[in-house]
Amino acid sequence: MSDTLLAPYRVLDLTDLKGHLCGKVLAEMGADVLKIEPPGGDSARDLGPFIDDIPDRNRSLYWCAYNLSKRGVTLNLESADGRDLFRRLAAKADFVIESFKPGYLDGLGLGYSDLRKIKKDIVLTSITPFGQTGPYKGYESSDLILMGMGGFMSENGYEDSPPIRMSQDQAYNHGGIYGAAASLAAHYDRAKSGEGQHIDVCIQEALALMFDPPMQAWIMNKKDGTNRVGPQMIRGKILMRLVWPCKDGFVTWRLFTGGAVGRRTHLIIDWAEEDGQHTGLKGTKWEDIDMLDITQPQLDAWDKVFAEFFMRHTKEQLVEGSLKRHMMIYPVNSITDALTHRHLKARDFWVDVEHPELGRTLKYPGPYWKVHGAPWRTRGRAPLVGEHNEEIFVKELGLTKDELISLAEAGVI
Amino acid sequence: MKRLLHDVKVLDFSWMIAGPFATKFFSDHGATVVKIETVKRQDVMRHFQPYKNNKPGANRSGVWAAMNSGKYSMSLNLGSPKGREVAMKLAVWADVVIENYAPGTMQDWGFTYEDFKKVNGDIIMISMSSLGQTGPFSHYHGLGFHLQGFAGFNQITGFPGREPFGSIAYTDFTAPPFAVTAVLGALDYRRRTGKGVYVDNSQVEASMHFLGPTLLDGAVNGRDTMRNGNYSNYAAPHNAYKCNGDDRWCAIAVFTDAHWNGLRQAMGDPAWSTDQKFATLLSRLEHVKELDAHVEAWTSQRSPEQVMQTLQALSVPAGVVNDGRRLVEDPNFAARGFFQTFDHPEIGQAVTRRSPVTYSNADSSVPRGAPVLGQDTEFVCTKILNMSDEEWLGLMESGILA
Repeated sequence: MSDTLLAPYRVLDLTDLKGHLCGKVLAEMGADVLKIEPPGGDSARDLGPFIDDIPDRNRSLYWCAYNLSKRGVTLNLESADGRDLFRRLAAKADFVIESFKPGYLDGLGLGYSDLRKIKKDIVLTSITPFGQTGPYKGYESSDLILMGMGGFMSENGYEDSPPIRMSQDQAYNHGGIYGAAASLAAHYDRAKSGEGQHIDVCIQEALALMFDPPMQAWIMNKKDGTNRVGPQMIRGKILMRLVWPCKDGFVTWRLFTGGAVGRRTHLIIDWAEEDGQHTGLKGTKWEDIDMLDITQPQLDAWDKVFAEFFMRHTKEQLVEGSLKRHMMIYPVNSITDALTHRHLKARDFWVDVEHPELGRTLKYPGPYWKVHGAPWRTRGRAPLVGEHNEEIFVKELGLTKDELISLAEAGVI
Repeated sequence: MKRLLHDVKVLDFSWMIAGPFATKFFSDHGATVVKIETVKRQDVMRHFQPYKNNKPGANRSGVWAAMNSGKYSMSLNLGSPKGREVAMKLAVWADVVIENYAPGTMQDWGFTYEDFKKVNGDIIMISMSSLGQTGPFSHYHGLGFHLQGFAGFNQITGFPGREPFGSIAYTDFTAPPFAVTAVLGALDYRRRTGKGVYVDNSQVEASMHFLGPTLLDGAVNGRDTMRNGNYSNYAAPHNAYKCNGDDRWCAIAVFTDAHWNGLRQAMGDPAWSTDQKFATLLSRLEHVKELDAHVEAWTSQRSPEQVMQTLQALSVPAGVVNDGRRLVEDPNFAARGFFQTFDHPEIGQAVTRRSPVTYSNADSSVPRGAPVLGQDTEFVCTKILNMSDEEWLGLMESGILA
């Protein structure tokens, strides 16, 4: 795969689920990513969903999704033999990525200062919930905890409900993808300076990037409080609806007024009238209305008309009609809606990945971007536990088969 | 100390959120990012609340300033052929062009990859449109709150049986680091091969990777995952609990027996917690509402900080639910120097945050504050494009640099 963006590079991936996305992205950009799991396999293998709902360490879709395109070996870093093999791999690696608690690798003699002695210009990327320094560096975390501490939850929920996260794990991916970006920025410099880096990726910080509006409201105007307004948003002093129920689901749409964008609102009124809905809003001059002057009762009265319009149509009617009329009504896709959406199909977004041991292919989300001339690629499905032990330890590092067996029996691999 | 990307030159046509978020990673780490703006058709985020002292103005949005600190602002009227000529000269200077318009806008200006390539053979260009450059919806205009619904995030955010949420514009934040990764990969590819590339980045497609396991569950098992509040299949308690104070909350996540025992210990081993129906994960899941009420009776007597510290001391995952104010006041961010303050002519002291990434052997601080509209036009004309005073003042007078 010499035509890929990162063809020449080797990545040692020590991460658990907090950093899996980082290695996956580098792998699909063409790097040779070697996932190093503890004997028995990474803890993410225990997480569902599972292929055909059968719990098994080689059937975790959580594992599969984020370890696609990597090769995999097992190695017990807490044994001297394991550390020795790791050092031999590190001597030839370009990147090491990890998500242990801060200080853990140092304790094993495998921290940045140790790795530098083996490979002078190594880039070591550490992805952790709260960073390598600071009062929370030893804290326990989970998706829920980070979505709380990173701000997400304070902006989701109802006034009278608890703040909520997304119902599927998200937080770690923010660290994973920034880990990939950070590693490549270090590499950009290394290619000229010959210097390596230890990179500190803080997931809590990555999450907080999403919350400039409430942070700035406090910084500049000392405005306090959460914004848990359900499917709406706060615009100035009013609550504006973004998610609308329609005949068979939900769509997203928002009211625009004012010079540049108010014209868009005529389109929905015209459409409603064409369909026989008496809106009473045909003469409204949306272009002349300043958003800041709208009162809540006024907006609520308009919203009744819009709500009726949406309820008279299906999601598909709304979206296809909007596409033709150059409006901005979007579907709220369910997971299966997204999987079958004609736009994503037309772009060949989905890729079929072979799972030879199952005798079938599974459908995965494909390229995050298309690079003309230097393709995104999948190397293949995520590794089974220890799948490439022989390939790496025997063929590459030169261990004998007997030594491999000894290491397995000793719990090293 | 060096900044890692100090010699990278970015020509930035991006606006709104997703594009500027990508270019901010470059400026944060030292790249020269020239943001093309125009007085006539401004980046709409310049008019995004909150404003300093609630007074609107193109240079008063704190959100815009936070997202664009470190960049250079050049005002250039792309509606005029002369203005487009100046932009083309910047393309000769640039390593990278970044834009996030709907497909068609750059083409109308004569700013395709092929156009840029004619003047700069190894240029790298990335287009970060909503839904990509091809496909039946490619020309469909959309904002972050639309795209997050399209990608599937809304459907899994909210309470069962109630409406889905969607006010964060989530994809505006999930897509940009993918774009950054592509550009940095392309820079290395160019160094090795001498070849530039064009990148078609769909914000929706990149973001959907945050749903990987959920999409696979749909594709493989036919499951249409829906919103489920804060609940988890394999943890209980697993929720945000009301604490002492005005709308203050703490999240608690109990996955293991050790976590459960830690929580019980923190609560002083109350009688209810010894009940058999809370002894195992499966039975805690079965009685989760009752469990939540018990836990909340304990948390509501304490501040969220107290709950977090008490539980974390016993290695139980717990964390304060931070709102805007508490994010700003978060002790971890303070200790790590996450926020930086710059003098700003209209905002006064403008606070921004650096990238979520710091380096052992490089300066990771934001190099400069946010520019007012057109602040760096003279600098770009004279120092980057080497125009004479006569030349750039002439352009200024004819309204090209406006």
